[in-house]
Amino acid sequence: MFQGLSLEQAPPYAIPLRFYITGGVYLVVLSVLTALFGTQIQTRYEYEAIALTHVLTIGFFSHIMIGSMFQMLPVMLGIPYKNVVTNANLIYGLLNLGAVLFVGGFLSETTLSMHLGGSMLLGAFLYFAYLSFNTVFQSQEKDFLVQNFAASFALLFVATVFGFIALIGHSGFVDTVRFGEIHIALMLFGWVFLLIDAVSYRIIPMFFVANEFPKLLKEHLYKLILLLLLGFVFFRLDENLHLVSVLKILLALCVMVFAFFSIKILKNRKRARSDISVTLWYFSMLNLSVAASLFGVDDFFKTDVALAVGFFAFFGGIYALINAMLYKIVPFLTWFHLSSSMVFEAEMSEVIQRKRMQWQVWFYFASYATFLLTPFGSFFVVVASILFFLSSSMLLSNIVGGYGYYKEYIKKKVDLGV
Amino acid sequence: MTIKDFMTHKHRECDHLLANAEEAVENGDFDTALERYIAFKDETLKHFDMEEEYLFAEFEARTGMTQGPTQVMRMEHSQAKSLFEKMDEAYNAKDKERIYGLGESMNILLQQHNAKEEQMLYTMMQQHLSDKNDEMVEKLQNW
Ligand SMILES: [Fe+2]
Ligand SMILES: [Fe+2]
Repeated sequence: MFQGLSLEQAPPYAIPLRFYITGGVYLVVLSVLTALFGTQIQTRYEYEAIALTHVLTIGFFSHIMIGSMFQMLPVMLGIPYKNVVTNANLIYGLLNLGAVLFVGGFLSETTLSMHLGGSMLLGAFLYFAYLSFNTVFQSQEKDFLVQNFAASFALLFVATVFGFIALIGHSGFVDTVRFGEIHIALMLFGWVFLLIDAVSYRIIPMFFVANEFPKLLKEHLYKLILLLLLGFVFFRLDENLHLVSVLKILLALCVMVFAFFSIKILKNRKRARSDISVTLWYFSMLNLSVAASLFGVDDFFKTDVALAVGFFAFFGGIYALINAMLYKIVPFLTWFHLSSSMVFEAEMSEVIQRKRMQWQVWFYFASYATFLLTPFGSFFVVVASILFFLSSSMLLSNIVGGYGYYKEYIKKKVDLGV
Repeated sequence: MTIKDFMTHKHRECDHLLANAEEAVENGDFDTALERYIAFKDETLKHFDMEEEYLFAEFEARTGMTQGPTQVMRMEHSQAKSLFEKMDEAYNAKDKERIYGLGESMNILLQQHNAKEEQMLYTMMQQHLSDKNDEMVEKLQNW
């Protein structure tokens, strides 16, 4: 029963960092692909659109989210993953092979590659979801936090299955659009949103010395989301599109309520000093609210707003939040592992220079603003992609720089024979 | 009141003391900042003492576990102590940027440390030492 906390409790520094650096590489690749293919994309059903979306969601988001779970769950719930090194390696391997084959398959229109890649991704996500779901229930406390995490992992599991069905159903035996839409809803409102809310409930009050989220939200919002998503799956499969529209509005309201409270709580935080992460957090919550409202009223529009919803949710919302989190977690982890190795000369503020973080985020904002201009000409897609290439290269170099800082100090220690 | 509630409450108090010190730094009032920083440091070190000298010792005696969670917690206390040495320098030198940088490290270090205590160690303590709860809380209150 004491296995919960031992000296080996934290995973080795290299594990989260490998996920982060790899995630950064996919982001750079994404910016290049967007410059190459972005101007041609008209609807979200095109192969290029599916490929690019998954470079972002699997290549970047999932790498960072999974790498962070290996690191953060032990801290937030006091319970480590079993055999974390083996499990992390296995998931990392499947995720990367799968992502490359899957995306490559869509870009080259090679069915075998799509299916092979899809199967590996299925393995990676199902195994991670199962492992994480089991892990959280080993926690000493079975409180709302555990339940929020568990709900997120459970929905990741189901969402993956629907995604896989949509993929193989592509050859004609199921309606891919229907399964695809369920896949997207479960991934976004389930896996991603519930993970964001669970982490925020814990992190915002503690790290910013701010008020707690309302009890009602912490303890019941995830149940409501679960219920709404269950309804969404059922009625979407049943083609009851009127009820689906109602459920979409309710799901959108849930996200907006959460965004409202997180902004309010962050605004009234006691540690008043603003940094780039706080700015990104506000930016993200505003984008998520815009995405949610468009998604909610989507069915009442004559034109398809799906691409806009995707842009605000993925590029403005989730991306910004992950960028913010990386700039909190990488410097701390680097410093923490050094000081646990008795290297006390290192300082957290030196791991990634503040200026370098700021520059990267300005390029991201510039890219975001330029993407907003794309309705006026596909020329802007190219400019925005170049700006995003600069931003993501800087992000990658900042993370790699953090890793280099660690290496440098560890080496000094070995050289001195300490 | 339970041991867990008492100690959790103490964590929050320390958070506010650090935030108070940083508030004074933000306003450029370094004398007040130094005063408040010292209050934060004293309170935090006292809290570490309560744990190491009393709570962890009782827990270790009761369970026979000396190499487990309490050992990790002690190690993180010593990481915090080494940060305090640097913060002393920064506050005395009125070096705003360094104060913020070190304050950020201290804050995250303590938050993740406190999360582990609150989420697991205090819960385990409560289970193993519940028969002595009232006596122990009283002793902690008079520490
Ligand atoms: Fe402690
Ligand atoms: Fe403590």
